[in-house]
Parts: sequence; structure tokens; C-alpha cells
Amino acid sequence: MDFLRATTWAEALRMKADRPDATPVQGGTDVMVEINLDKGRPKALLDLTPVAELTEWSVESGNIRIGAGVTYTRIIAELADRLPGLAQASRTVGSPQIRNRGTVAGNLGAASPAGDSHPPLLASGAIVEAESVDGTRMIPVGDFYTGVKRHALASHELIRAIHVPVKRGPQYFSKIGTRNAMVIAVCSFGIALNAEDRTVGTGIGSAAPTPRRAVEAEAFLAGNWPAGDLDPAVAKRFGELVAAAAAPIDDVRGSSGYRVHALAVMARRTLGWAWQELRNGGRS
Amino acid sequence: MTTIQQPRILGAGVDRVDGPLKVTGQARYPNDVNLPGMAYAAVVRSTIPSGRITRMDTTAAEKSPGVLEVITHENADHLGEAPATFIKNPQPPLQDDAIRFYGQYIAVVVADTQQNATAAAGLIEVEYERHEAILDPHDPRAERIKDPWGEDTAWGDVRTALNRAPVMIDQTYTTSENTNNPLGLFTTLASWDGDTLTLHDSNQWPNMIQQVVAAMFGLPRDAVRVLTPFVGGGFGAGLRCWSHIPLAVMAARHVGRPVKLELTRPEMFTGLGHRTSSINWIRLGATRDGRLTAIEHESLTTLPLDGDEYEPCSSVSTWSYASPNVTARDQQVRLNIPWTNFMRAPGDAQGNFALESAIDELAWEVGLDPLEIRLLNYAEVDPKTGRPWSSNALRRCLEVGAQRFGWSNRNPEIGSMRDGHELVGYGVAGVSFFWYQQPCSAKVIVRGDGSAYVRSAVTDIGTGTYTIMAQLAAGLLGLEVDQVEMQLGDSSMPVGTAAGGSGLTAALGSAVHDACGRLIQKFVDLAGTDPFSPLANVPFEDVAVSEGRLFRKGDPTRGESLARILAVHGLTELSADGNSTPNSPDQLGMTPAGARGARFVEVRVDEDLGRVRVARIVTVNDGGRILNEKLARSQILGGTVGGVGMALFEDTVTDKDTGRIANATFGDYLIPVNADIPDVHVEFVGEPDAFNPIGVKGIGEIGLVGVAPAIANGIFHATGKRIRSLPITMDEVMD
Repeated sequence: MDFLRATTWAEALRMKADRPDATPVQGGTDVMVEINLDKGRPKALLDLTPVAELTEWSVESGNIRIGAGVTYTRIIAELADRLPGLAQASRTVGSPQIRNRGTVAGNLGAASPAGDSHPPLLASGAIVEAESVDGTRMIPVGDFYTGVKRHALASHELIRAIHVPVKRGPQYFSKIGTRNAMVIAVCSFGIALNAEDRTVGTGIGSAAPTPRRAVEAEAFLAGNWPAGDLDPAVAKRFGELVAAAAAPIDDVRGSSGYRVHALAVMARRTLGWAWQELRNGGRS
Repeated sequence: MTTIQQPRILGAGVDRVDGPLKVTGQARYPNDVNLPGMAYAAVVRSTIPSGRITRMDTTAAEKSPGVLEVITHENADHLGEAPATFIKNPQPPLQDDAIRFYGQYIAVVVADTQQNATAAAGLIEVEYERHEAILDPHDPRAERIKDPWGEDTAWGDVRTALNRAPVMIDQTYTTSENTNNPLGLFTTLASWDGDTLTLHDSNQWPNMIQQVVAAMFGLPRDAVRVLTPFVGGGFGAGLRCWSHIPLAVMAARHVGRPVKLELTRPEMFTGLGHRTSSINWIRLGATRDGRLTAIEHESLTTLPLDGDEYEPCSSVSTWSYASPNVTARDQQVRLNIPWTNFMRAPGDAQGNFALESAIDELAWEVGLDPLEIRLLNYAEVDPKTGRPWSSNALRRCLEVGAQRFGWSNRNPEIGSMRDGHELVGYGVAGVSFFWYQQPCSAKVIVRGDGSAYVRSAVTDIGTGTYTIMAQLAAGLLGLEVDQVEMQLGDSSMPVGTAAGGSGLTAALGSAVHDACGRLIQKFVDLAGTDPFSPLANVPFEDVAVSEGRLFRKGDPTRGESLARILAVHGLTELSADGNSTPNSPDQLGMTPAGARGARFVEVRVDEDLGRVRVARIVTVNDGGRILNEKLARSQILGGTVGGVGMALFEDTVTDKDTGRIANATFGDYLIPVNADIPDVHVEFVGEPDAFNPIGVKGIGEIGLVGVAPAIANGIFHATGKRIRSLPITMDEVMD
């Protein structure tokens, strides 16, 4: 296994162009675990940790552009006010040590259906900025996941950043694990109620081959935009539509039947929290 | 022995004497030891569960960088039979082409670095002839062993009693396979010097490793020295001489260099055994007011093809409750699985889950409070023999626990205690733990400066043996704890028993007690030969010891220090050997009782999601005399965490087609994390036990037992759902 270390972004892109078989490594919280457990041996590792520009975030035309090297810990500390859904999900990632190393870009690169950041990225309509020596591609996150642990990046592309729209309105994330921390999700759900344009975003994790939105549930809720008390029938229907969007499997963490059931519960609960916050006119 | 006072420093929460070494990284665990010229080994494991090896190609591995040697069954040394030590040990590895389970060692690669060894191990090509594997305990082809230990027990007439019982509980309770998973990766560093061998090795019984390795390699026992001053936990995993140990020894002999073999976490799942799954059939007969008339308990546990295991799940039903009619029977079934082995509270953990669940079901059936039914059927005496217990404070455990927990606040109605969308349930379980003790020896030496050291081959697996033995010796010799130096974990020291079965404190403590008594006697005798000694002509019975001095009882001014006695007689030190063997129940006319305990648990069940949270736990235990309450508390806390793991998380999953353990990492095999463990209240009750001279009952394991049934019983109170299998999953609670 070759070990390549890029010191600048331009160098990283050149290296990836020369070695499309290289696996990029940032925090190493997925890549190194897989290697240590001998679940595959990349021909080369491309270490991106020295690339300083990746560790910055900025505000660009209403979006937060999160560099591929920004850790979960920093998202929680620095972006929780603007990206509450993503920050909530970040808090549930692994342990403090994992959050100090792990990145959202790494979560995207691994493309596990159980990755914690996927539901809020889907719910808030994030865009993946992929770059190569040929230029930049902006990939809506919904098009990014192409299969179990597969994604839309070309072999010579790297993730430069993730653009997450900053939107007014409540965002919530919920995750069920078999224990209370340091656990891979049995299933997870993210919701965003976008107050300005009265649209709804959703994201389902660990309940289909890829993370995915519950499009019909979004449309249904946008058509029943929060006003007054939350009608239990609306909550119930929303939960059903979210559950219907899932296509889970049975595995050691949970049965498909449980996942479908739990998704409906999480959808109702997160909707309840979001609805309440919207009524209160801000974050309570 | 009248010279030994009630030791004043016992019971105190003395800090671990080995604590500073551990927190500053100076405690050298087996994997911390490096020797000049040391090479590294990596193992290769089988990828089928049953069959034989038809071809192995080691060419690429041999040519791989840094590789010194590749050993397979084709070039392995022929080794001698591994003797049984209380239980069987695995026979030497690489002696034939047979595959008995997935993960069996089939080769070992030695190289100049760990990385090179591991890389080369991956290059070995293996072809197999596959045989059909037997992986399911219910497979009719599997060999069944009835009454494996000759301990099946029956009294009264269970059949008739069950037929006539107005109330009957007839249920099956199952527990999953669990893996010990001590944090320290088991390591063997083998170093030959001519025909003598030194092993730095992770285990719980250095003399056992010494004996087995000596037999396999045809050496006199004295030619093998096993050093285990520290080990990163065991939970039973270190009670056999596992196959990686002779592999390391063989490898070191082949390359003529010291060889270190450190297992990886996945290898720890197949290489050190695991807790057997269990199926327990329980039938309880009772009167309408809840008095037991019959207990029938049968268990089925698993065995590897070529091993044994002592796991009498049903035995708890022979001593936990008073019943005039009892039958307890165990069976084992042989499968193509890695070795089953002791894991913290073997047999009791599973059997107690079954029995305490069944007793709870009976309580609901007859409308009794689950606490009341346990007191109603209390075993005042040993129900099997009618003999008194050597001590038994279970009643006190239950009463004190109920009070601390606030059991009286329990609304008996199912689902009646709610908090938001969480249903609150209270669960209780009693624990009567087994008794176990083996012979042990120790040497105690007082030096010229009046300080002492204590030596025994036993090891401290992290439980606090160093500390409590220093306290005990200090108390018995009239010294301060920091005047006693402990030397443990070296097979060349006085022969010691296993740090297992919750039996070491009584065994070693009694040996230290014996040695200290003999040593004081020697000092008294010595002083008696000195006509100028203030102790001249003072009979042994009238001598007391305190602050490093012997003195006449009632007249502290008339005495002499240990140091001065040595000086007067021109001695640099004086020593005495001590031995202990368990007392005879027949002679004492009593039944030795293990520790006793009660668990009270509040669970919260999310009624929409089936998520179970343990909100608080009260655990009250009778461990006889508690030598160090701080360390004893740590043992109970650790056991409690293990109990929560057994109840809610731990499940070693074997793939039904290949026999591969599917979750052999800490990412997939879940144990509790901090966020899963609530406030745990630990308390001790009881009196010194009458069965051994120091009054102790081991408490290394009991903390785990009873937690799982208390949680399951709490879930029933919260939801009305009776879960009879472990671990308890969200799916099942929702089902």
C-alpha cells in the first residue's frame, strides 16, 4: 500500500488524478478502521490532513461552505446556531475522540447508509462540491449516494466542501441505537421546516441501501403547513409516509419491521418538536 | 491464634497499592514487555468450521519481507498432551490437519516486526476439504452429554409435587453467547534460554500455564517460569492455557529469539473461549399463596468438539430457595464452535436469570409482591442438606435494598408508573452465588527493618489482590499497609491457585493468615530464647502485635519490636510459609455459602420504540467480611455494568452457515458505555463468614448476577411483556 501525502489542495488533486485508486483519508475514523480490520486494502492512501484550506468553513451566498477537513467537534461548536440539524446529528457521532477527528466529508466518502450526517444534509438540501484537475462539480446530496457504500464521485475527484443552505425554521435529528452512545444507528431521521418558503426537508438514515428523502412526506407536510395545534392525524400520516419511503433490511442491529415502525415514531416526534418550535416563533 | 487481633486496617477504603504504578504507566503488562532481539508472531485462522486442510501454500509468506519462519501443521513440533487443570486445556495446536471450528489456528508467522508478520500471514493460501458443520444446539446429529459433571441433583418427588401443585410456572429461558473481552489484548512473550523458558503471559493462573506448557514441551516444571504481575482483565478468559501460548513458545524455539504474540481483538473472540449460550427449562410448583412445592430446572449449554466446560446452570435452583422437591439437571451439546469457557459467574449468571425470572412470574401468577415471594421462600438453611449456612445475609440484602431503592413506592399495577412516553418499571432479583475455594500457598517475610513482604504465584487480575493482601498481612503483623510489599504473578513463588471463581481472596487470604500466624509464632519463640527480652517467658497466647511490636496483652510497655528481635539474634529476615485448604463441610457441620445479593432496578421503556433505559440500580451484597470497601465496591460496580451488558447488549453472533463469529469487534459487539449506566448504589451487609479464618466470601463475580433478571422483571412491570431471552432487544419489547 502506497501512502501519499498532499500538502496543498492542488497537489491533492494532482495526486488523485495520477492515482485514481487512492483512497482519500481525512480523520481516518472509517478508513483506518476498515484497514485495521482487514476489510479491504486500498492500493494507496491519500492523506489530506496537511491540506490547511480544507479545515475552513465560510459563508457563501446563503450557504455555509464546510471544508472537507472540518471536524464534527467544530461543527457542533461553531455552526450549531446556523445548521442546527447537522449539529444535532454531529453530537451523536461516536465518541469525543471520533468527533475530534471525523468529518462530514468523510461520512460522505464512506457513503454508509448509517452515516449520521446524511439525514440532515438531505433535509436541508446540501450540495457536495467535488473537484478534480478537470474542474468542479456541484452534486446535490440526494444524487450523491448511488448504492450501499457507493457514491457519485469520479475516481479522480475529491470532495472539496459541502454547501449547506442556512434556512430559517426548525431542524431536528433523531437516531435510534442499540445503546445510548458510540453506536451505529439502527435508523435515523432528520427534518427541516423551512419557514421562509414553507417547504419541508427530510432525510432517512440506515433504512434503505442509501440515505434518502421521504419526498411524499415532504409534500404532504408542505400542504399541511403548521398552523395551530399539530393535528394527530397529520402527524400520523407524516409518519406513515416517512416509513413508506424506507426500504430497510434485517441485520444484527434491528429487523426491517422494527426500522419501519421506529421511523414512523421518529418522524412524528421530530415533527412534534419542530411544530412546537415554529409555533413558539423560534428556538425554545 | 490469639496473637492476631481484629485487624484494624481491614475494611478501610485503602487506595490500590498498585494504583500509582498503573496510572503512571509503570505497571508492565505482558504486552508492555520487550526483549532484545525479539521477533513478532501473527496467527492464521481457519475460515471453515469443519473439515481438514488439503493444501497450504506458504511460499509467498516465506518470501515476504522480514519473515523468519512460517509454522503450519506440516512443520510444527510434536508436542505432548496438555494436562487438565481443574478443567481441560486445549490440546497443542498445529498437530494435524483437522478443522474443528471457524477461527482455529492453522499457522503462525514470525517476522522482524509485527507489521511484517501480519502482512505475511495474509499471504498464506489454504485449501480445505469441507465437512458439514454442526452449529445448532438442537441439531439431532450433535453429541449430547448428560449429567456432565455427575452433579445432577434431586430430592423429594418433583413429578408428584408438580402434578399436584395448584399453581405452576413452566417456561423456557435462554441466554446468548457472550465474550469475555478483557480490555488488555492477551499476549505471550516466550523466551528460551537453553532448556529453560520464560513467559510473560496474560492469564489468571500462572502455575497452571507453567504446568501445561511444561507438559506440552516435555520440560520439568521448574524449567518454565511464567510472569504475570499485571494483566489487563480476564473475566475468566485467562483460566486455561489457550493455544496461542504454545504457538508463541514453539515459534520462539524455531527462530531462536524471543517471540511476542499479541492477539488482536477479533482473535480474542475465537482464541480465548466465550460464555456458552444456555437454554433453561424451569417448572415451578407452588401453593396458591406462593409457597414453592417443587423446582425443576434443566439446562442445555454448548461445548466445542474437543473441550470441556463447567457450566452448571441448574445448580442455582438447588440452593437459592427452600423447596421440598427439587430436580436440577444439566446437559451439554458439542458443536463446531470456538471453545466455551468461564466468563464472570459461569452457570450462575444464566441459571439465575432463568430462576429469578420464573420466581417473578410465579409472584405475578399468585398476586404476591415479587419481593415478598422471595422472602416467603427464603432458604434459611441449605435446602439440600438441611445444614446451616456458613453465613447468609440474603434476607438483609433484600430488606436493605428495598429500603434504599424505595420499593414501597412501587405501584403493583402493570404500566401504572408513567413518565411522558416512558413506562416505568421496578424489578427485583435475589442472588445466591456458588462457593468455590482451592488450595493455595504464600510466604511472608519480615525484614531487618521490620517491614514485610508477601509472595505468592497468584496474579492480581485487577480486582485488588495486591492491596487487600497487603492490608491483611499488615493487620496480622501489626504493620502499616505501606510497610508490606507484595510480590505476586510469578510461577516460581509459592504455588498459588487461580484468580477465578471468586475464590482467590479466601484461598490466598487464608494462606497469608496461616503464614502470618506461623511467623509471629517464630518471633515469639525467638524472643523466648533471649533471657533479656521483655517477652521472655511470655506464652504465645498472651502476645499481641501492633505498630511493628510484639507485646504482652494488657501491658503494651512490655514488648519488643520485630526489627529488634531480628537484630538481637543477628538475623536479616525471618519468614514463614502458609498454606490453605478449604475446610470440610462435614467436619464443620455447615454448608459453605458463596456471596449473596439483591438487585433492585428501575427501568424506563419507551412505549413507542421499545427502547429500554436502566434508570437506577441498587445492589446490596453479602460478601462476609469486606477487606476493602472501596475495591469491593469497584468489583460490584464492574459486575453491574457486565450485568447490564448481558441483559441488553452482549451477543456473540455466529453465522449459521459458516460458523464465523459475525461481530468480533467492539464496533459490533456492544458492551455498555457510560451513557447506558445510571446511578448505581452499592452497599454491603452481612457478617464474617464462618467457613474460613478470615471470614471472607469472594465478590468478584456476584455483581453481574441478578442484574439481567431484575431488568427483565422491571420491563414486565412496566409493560406487561415477559422477555425470556437475553439480550433483550428493542424488537422484542415492541413485538
